[in-house]
Amino acid sequence: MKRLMSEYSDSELYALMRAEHSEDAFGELYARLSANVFAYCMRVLGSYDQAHDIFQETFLRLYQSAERHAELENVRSYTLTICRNLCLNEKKRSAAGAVEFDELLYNPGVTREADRSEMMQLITMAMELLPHDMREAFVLREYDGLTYIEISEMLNIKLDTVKVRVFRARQKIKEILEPYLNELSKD
Amino acid sequence: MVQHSTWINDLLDGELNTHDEPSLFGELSVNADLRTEFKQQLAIRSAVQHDRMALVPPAHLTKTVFSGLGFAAPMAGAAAGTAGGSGFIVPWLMKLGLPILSAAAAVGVTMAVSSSPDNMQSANTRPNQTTSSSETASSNQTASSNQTASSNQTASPNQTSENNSPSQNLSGSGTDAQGARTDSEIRSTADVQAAEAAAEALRRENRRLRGALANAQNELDAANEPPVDPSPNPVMIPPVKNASISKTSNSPVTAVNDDAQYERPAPMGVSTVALTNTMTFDNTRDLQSIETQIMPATMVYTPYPSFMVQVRGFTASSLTDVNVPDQGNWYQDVGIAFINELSPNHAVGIELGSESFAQVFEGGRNGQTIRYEQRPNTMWWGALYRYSFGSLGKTAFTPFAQALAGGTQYGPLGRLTGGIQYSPTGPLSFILGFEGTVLAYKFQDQWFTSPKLGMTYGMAVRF
Repeated sequence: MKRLMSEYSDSELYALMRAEHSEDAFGELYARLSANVFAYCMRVLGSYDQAHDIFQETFLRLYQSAERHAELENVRSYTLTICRNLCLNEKKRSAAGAVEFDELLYNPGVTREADRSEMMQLITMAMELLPHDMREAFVLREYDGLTYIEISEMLNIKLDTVKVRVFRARQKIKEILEPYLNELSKD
Repeated sequence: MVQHSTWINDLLDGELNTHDEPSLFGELSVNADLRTEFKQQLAIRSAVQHDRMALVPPAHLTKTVFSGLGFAAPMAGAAAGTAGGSGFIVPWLMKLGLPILSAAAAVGVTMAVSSSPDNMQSANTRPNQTTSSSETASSNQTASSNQTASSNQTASPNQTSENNSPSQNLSGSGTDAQGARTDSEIRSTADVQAAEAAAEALRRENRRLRGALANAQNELDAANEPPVDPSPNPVMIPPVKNASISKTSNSPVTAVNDDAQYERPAPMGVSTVALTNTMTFDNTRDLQSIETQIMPATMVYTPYPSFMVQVRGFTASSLTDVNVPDQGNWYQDVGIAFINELSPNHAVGIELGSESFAQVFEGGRNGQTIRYEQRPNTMWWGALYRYSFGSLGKTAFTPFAQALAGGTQYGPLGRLTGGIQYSPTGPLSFILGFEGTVLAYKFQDQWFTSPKLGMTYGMAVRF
């Protein structure tokens, strides 16, 4: 019986993409990674349009990168690294006077149903107030599900530094949302 | 307090040391502020998880990515929450548009084939549908009767006419149909019985005609006393079909039968009529033709078990909504079956084909729940059983029901089909029907199904 694409590991799919330019392999990798990349783009960049551009560019480069790498152990970290570098470049490019805050993200009338949740809107806004390094570590940990070791390798920083950044990000968000959380606990 | 917050952080990450757990839980049981902080962290974590689940790339972004890479048909996409909200009826009708058009095309092809000149001729030669042949016979019969009545030469012309009438119809149908009718057309028992009854009717009619002719001769003899000696060398008139009457002056009355020809001198003062009872000859031929037709029909009535190859197409709408297009192939949505008809009602066979199935399933990977959507094209094969319900009246339409059990590379497949088979003439037949299909597949020890509903159409050749 033919093996399903969903039964391949990320590395095997990447190898298939390299060896056969397999559209199916790319499609499967896309299915696995697109949510992570999209969440990272949206929560780190905070701009809907920028996030879409970076998202497309990330997968384009992932596909093209298959020509250069014989094998890849951690495809997800590699893909998020591509995405992160693109995001950093984009932030640098738009640093002068660019407004990162995208009203589309916070308008309950036009955004996803999930954003209608007040709690989620507040968290998103709180994340905007975090320093970039904290926000990035928090997104990679909470949204993309990377381990601390993977984050440290990806960001090329110490493991303890990652833990501290994630911890401080959580504390900061809790402080920002404390009045709202207290109201919730009273209800 | 900071230490306790760190422990909470580690606990949420699943990295709290086992020897620190009693200390944390003990502190939580007595420290209300720590419990509050713990609840707040849980609330934040829960909200983040919900936010993460809702953050999926929209369908148009997925299409943009794939089209940017030159991929026209993305095979999979995490498209949760991107299902279109354009209602149910319109998309459903749009999905059925192609099946309806396909079915209409199949009906059109069937009608075109069945209305071709050859088939029209075949249809017209059926006993119950005889038109031109019976009309010709009737006109001949009428002319013959009238002429006989006006001449007062025949004692019971009306009787002859009435007796000939059924044989005329059978004559026309039987003679013309001898070459046109095929074994399949007279395959049913009803046809054979009807033909046998017609043959018996012809035999009885032939006997009556002989008696009537003898009576007519007796009356002629009585009316023309003294009788004139018959010519020692009667002229033999060959039987001419449809040449019923000719009137000549001073010529003997000539009656021609299949087993007796007479030449009588004309009585004085009575115009002579050459009466040719061609019906008797036709009846003889009809009898022979019917008999020859019946016997081979009875003898060749052994079509079962017979072998049949069926090719069909099907267009079905998946009841599973996915946002990825088909992985189409040129041979998609077609099937070929090899069927062994065991009896007029029962048939078994095997069938294989190719079609796509929409699949939506979820699975865990790296601690995340991933929703997969795909519509792969796959080969399938299986064993089928078909039950035919018999012809609808005297038409060539036969309803049937069929069940197929088989498999694909993804898992087992079941299919139920109900439809109608149309066998206009010869070994060809056409089918049109509805069917439901269910594909079951397994992912990470969990079973999922992909149901489809649609139409099927095709043709079959019997060998």
